[in-house]
Amino acid sequence: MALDIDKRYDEIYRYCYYRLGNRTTAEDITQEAFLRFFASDVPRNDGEALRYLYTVARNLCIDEYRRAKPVPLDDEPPDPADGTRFEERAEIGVELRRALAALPEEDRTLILLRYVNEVPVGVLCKLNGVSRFALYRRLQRITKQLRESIEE
Amino acid sequence: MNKTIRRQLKTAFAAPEPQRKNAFLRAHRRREIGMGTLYLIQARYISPAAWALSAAALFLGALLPAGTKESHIWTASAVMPVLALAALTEGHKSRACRMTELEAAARFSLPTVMMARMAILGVCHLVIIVLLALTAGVGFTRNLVYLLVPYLLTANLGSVICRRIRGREAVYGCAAVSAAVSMAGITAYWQPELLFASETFGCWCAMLAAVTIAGTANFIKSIKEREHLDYGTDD
Repeated sequence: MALDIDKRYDEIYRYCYYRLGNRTTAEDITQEAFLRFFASDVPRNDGEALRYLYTVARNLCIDEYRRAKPVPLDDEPPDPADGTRFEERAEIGVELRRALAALPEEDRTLILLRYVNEVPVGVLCKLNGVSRFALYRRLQRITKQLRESIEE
Repeated sequence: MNKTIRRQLKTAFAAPEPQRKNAFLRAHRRREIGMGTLYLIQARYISPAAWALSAAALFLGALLPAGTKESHIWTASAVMPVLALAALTEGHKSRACRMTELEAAARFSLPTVMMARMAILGVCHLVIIVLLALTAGVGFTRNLVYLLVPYLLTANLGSVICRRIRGREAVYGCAAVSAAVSMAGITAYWQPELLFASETFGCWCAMLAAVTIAGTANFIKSIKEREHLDYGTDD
């Protein structure tokens, strides 16, 4: 009831898309995460629901990495939207693109979750199994690294 | 992180539009119940004692006043703590019955359920207060202030007690606070110039502002405490 599914769908989809780089698979995983959420008895408050959704989405993305890549059909044209990660996007600053590309995958995901999807700090702490203090320090370190890369 | 970088980050991480979102949401939206349905369901779970106390407050405040029209507001004002007690006991019910842990683990979280019940009782009490303010005799605005101050004062003190004392003892504490505030109002029945004189109305307005601010802070704190409920410390 408290969860805004419309908004959360986009956030989970964005998270999956940037972990997998494929629109169709990202949407499949997003829908699977929501189906599991609907079938579960997870409390419907925002924090718990978000944690559940991101945990399921993350685990499904990991399963997807492990799975052997399917052979694409010859007659199906490639989706032009797929693979357009921030490295290729022209509208954002060159410095930021370079700085993001230089970050480790884990830090980039944290930036996406905290500053783009605006996941609350409490949820992020539980999701990563770290204290608030540790998370703040990590975010500070990443933002400092980003700032320094941009200024160089 | 400055706003420009945040904005650029949002652009950097923009994903292509999902293609099957609308169909999926149309197929599954029915699984979530709406706010109106939740409120209707929760209204049935508000204890009869809370409704009885509210009805008693309305009865005592509106139907029993004796003497002049001015004395009406003193009686109604002295009854307001009883109304606040009804809300406090309802808010503290899960802790008093030691059901907090179970309710916190339910599908609809305890803060959501508490917000729904408090909103229902709050609206009901506001209607009672407005009704009493309309029937008393020193002007609607003054009546409203004289009624709201004892109500909010009792609710504030009671919620502090509920946060600090566990179990059923907190309800006795709330009843004691309610009785004390009510007694202060009753003394005004014999000495109205002491409390309800027009010269002291400014003090009443200041008190109303203070208890409103304190009440909002208290309510937010109580809800946050329930959100971060530590099962190990709550009995």
